[in-house]
Amino acid sequence: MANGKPPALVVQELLGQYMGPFTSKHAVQIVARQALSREPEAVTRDQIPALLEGLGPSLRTLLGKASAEKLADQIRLELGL
Amino acid sequence: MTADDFDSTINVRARKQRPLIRLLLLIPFVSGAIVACGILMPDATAGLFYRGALVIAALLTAVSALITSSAFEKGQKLFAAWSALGIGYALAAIRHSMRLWTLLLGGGITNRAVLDSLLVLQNVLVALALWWFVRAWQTSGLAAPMSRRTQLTWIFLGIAVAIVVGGYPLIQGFQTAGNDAVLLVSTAGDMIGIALIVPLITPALAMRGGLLMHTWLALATSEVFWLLYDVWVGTKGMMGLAPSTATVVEQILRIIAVMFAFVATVAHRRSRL
Repeated sequence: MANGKPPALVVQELLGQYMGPFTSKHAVQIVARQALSREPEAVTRDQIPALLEGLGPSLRTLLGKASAEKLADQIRLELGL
Repeated sequence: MTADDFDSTINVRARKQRPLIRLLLLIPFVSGAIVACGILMPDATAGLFYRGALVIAALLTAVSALITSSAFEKGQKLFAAWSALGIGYALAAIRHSMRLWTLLLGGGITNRAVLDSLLVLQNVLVALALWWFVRAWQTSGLAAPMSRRTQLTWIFLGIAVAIVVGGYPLIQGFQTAGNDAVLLVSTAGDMIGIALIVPLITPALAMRGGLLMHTWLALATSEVFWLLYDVWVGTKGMMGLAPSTATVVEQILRIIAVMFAFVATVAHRRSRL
């Protein structure tokens, strides 16, 4: 686990493996602002499920439903949620 | 600290897949090198060899695209895109198989209308597939906002390239539409594909560094090779080359274009969890 790192930035970095750092940063930023009304750095661990839910449609579009859900589950697991 | 600093399953898997996907990019060039051996063969044998290579390449691409489509649900743009690409290349495989059959055994289905219909359908489906790949990205909510001016500049750039390359054959097609509607549709399909090179590169650039980048990059590269193929077909007569040399270059460009579409199908599967 990435100790001390804001959890949304960990999500951003893990998604970056698939969609690249530029797009994952943009995606996390948009969803954090629109769905949680805050900057990614301020997103708490408890808000990560909501953040992942907000990212869901984009992930499903690019990866397909099963793979997108697997990725979201894996991120939750890695963040200990 | 970066995500690579801790050994998450996602990072480990991505690190394993990245070199494999990069290796895939060699497949089209290896295929091109194999097809280049046709220049060493007598003309009749080379004709069979090129046609056989196209059947295999189109069949592999069709099967792989349809497998890739199965990860998506009906109604999703990438389901439509992979399905259309798969069916388009399946039709190409059938058409080239018919030609190969005729070359090898004589007879078979030689009806011009059947062969032309397959060609037209294939062109329409592949052009539609590419359009859906572009739309999937644009509607994913991940595309970075671009000013209208920048968007229009890129769109016009793509259209300009398409007109320069496909314009002459398209005008020829219009003039002789009565007896060459196939040339018209085929060229229009090529022009759409070429015009989509820039919109296909945009997601690849946006996702640079990520595994998914390779899918759009390979699709755009496939269209670049179709563009080179069209340029070559249009200009080879002016080069003063031996017919066998002109033909082998044409076949190399064609096989590389098809195999980049194949690479896109595999790269997408390897980019998923």
